[in-house]
Amino acid sequence: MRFAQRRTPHARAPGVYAESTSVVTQTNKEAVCLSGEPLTTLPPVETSVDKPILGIESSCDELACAVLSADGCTVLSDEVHSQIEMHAHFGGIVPEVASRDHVRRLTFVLEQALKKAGVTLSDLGGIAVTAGPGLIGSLLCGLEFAKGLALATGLPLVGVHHHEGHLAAAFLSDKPPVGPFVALLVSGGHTSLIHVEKLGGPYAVIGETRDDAAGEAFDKTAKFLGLGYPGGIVIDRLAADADADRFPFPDVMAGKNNFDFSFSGLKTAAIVLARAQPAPLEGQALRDFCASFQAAVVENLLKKAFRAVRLHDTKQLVICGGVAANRELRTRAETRAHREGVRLIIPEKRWCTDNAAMIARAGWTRLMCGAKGRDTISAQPYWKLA
Amino acid sequence: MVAVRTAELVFQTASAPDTQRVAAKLARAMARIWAETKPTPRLVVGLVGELGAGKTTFVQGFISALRNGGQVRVTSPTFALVHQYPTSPPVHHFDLYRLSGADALDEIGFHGDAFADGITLVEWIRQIPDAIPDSWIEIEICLAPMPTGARQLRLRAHGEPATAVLECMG
Repeated sequence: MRFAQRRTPHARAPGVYAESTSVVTQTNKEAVCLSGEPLTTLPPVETSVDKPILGIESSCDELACAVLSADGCTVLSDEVHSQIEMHAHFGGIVPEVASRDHVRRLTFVLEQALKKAGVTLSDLGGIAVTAGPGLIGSLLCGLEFAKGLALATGLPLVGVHHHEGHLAAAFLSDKPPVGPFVALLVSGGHTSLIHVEKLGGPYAVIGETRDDAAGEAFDKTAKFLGLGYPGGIVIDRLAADADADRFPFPDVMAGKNNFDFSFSGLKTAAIVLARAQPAPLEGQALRDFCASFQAAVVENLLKKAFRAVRLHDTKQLVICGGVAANRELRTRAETRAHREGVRLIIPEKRWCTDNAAMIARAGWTRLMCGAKGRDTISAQPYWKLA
Repeated sequence: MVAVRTAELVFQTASAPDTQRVAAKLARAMARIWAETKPTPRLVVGLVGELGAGKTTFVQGFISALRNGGQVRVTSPTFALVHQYPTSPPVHHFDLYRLSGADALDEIGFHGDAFADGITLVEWIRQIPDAIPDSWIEIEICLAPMPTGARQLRLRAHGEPATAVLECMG
């Protein structure tokens, strides 16, 4: 492969890691921006992209590369290398392990993505890479690698906000949102309701979690129950066809008159409830417990999301982020959307969890709108969407 | 050898707001010590307690009592690993839940200049022994066997200036 023959990125990879580490400890202002300045809204000008876009995502425990067609409609390849198995051992993500593994796998994942898409680097029109928010070590791996790649190929490089990527996933379906919509972004690290004028902004965050993210509540409760990681998937699996009404969970709301969430109380309620059982939870009781807990989390999310749709003059709801892969959430949302006459868009499961196709899609929109590629992008671990 | 001074305070609280009042009292005592003596190395508070004990809840009460803390949104830093708040004194809120090993501490810059001033709050501090400094205030929050809301808070000061803080509080 052409890319491998050049050797430059290959030779760079270990160096990138060493560089990244020193950058973190010295908080070099150029490479890392800690201010958390919000994302810039795109200007309404439209130019064109006439070649496929490469997307690179490495903000957390997924390392992914994808190639998106020049018209932004077709995902030509989508390679995800997940470290979930490795992290399962620790019951969560260990950033140091994550960034070391990212460096080792980047070149391989990129080669696979190009090969499956049937393109070489010279066929591409631009590179989109996640610049934040996320774990700094992991972010820098993808970002520095992408910068090296852009430098070597002369391709324009755009830094993508990870959350804008999740929103962009809704545009990878054949029935994307049309006009403004409300988005429920739910993952292991984030839970927020966002009003989206259009992809590229302006965005308005209308509600957020006040304590734990929804995915975090799943992970921690699963860990307490001794069920493994990632908690959402394990609980979802156990909850299938179980009795969600067997265990009473409190309706923990962060106030009825706002769009904020609170999941810490629900997690504590689960722990207290599990301890209060006469016998350790196992078999059917454990399955019913998972179903009841899951239903409580999902109900909380949907209640606020649909209320936001009602009050924000739109009839469209997008649910995205890793927790959007949860079956109970998808089913209940569909039922409710049907009942309330809301157009519901939930990306395919593979594009709910972290992936690079969504990053390429967000980058494609930015390039379309005339974003100038540059090689001075900083990693922004605290980057705000709005 | 100089004997290391220690101090201990125990509180029984009935509800989350009650727990947050204790946190606020500690925050005011620490802010006072910080303003008077600007202690180096930094003031460290380590939170110890199982899942659901209310460590983040405690931090919320702590932050709200500091200058500029009223408007700050305190959420669990489990995913982001550290949150920084623009309070006076500045507060760095770490969560070591997902970490292991001294290398991981370096990776997040735990001992770095970026976190040298002000107050450092650390959830799951016992996860990594290297995170524990010579002087620190240990907050142990016990959940069981009490009903939801009620907690036992044990505040233990190790060395100086931590002991001075607890004396200032009591």
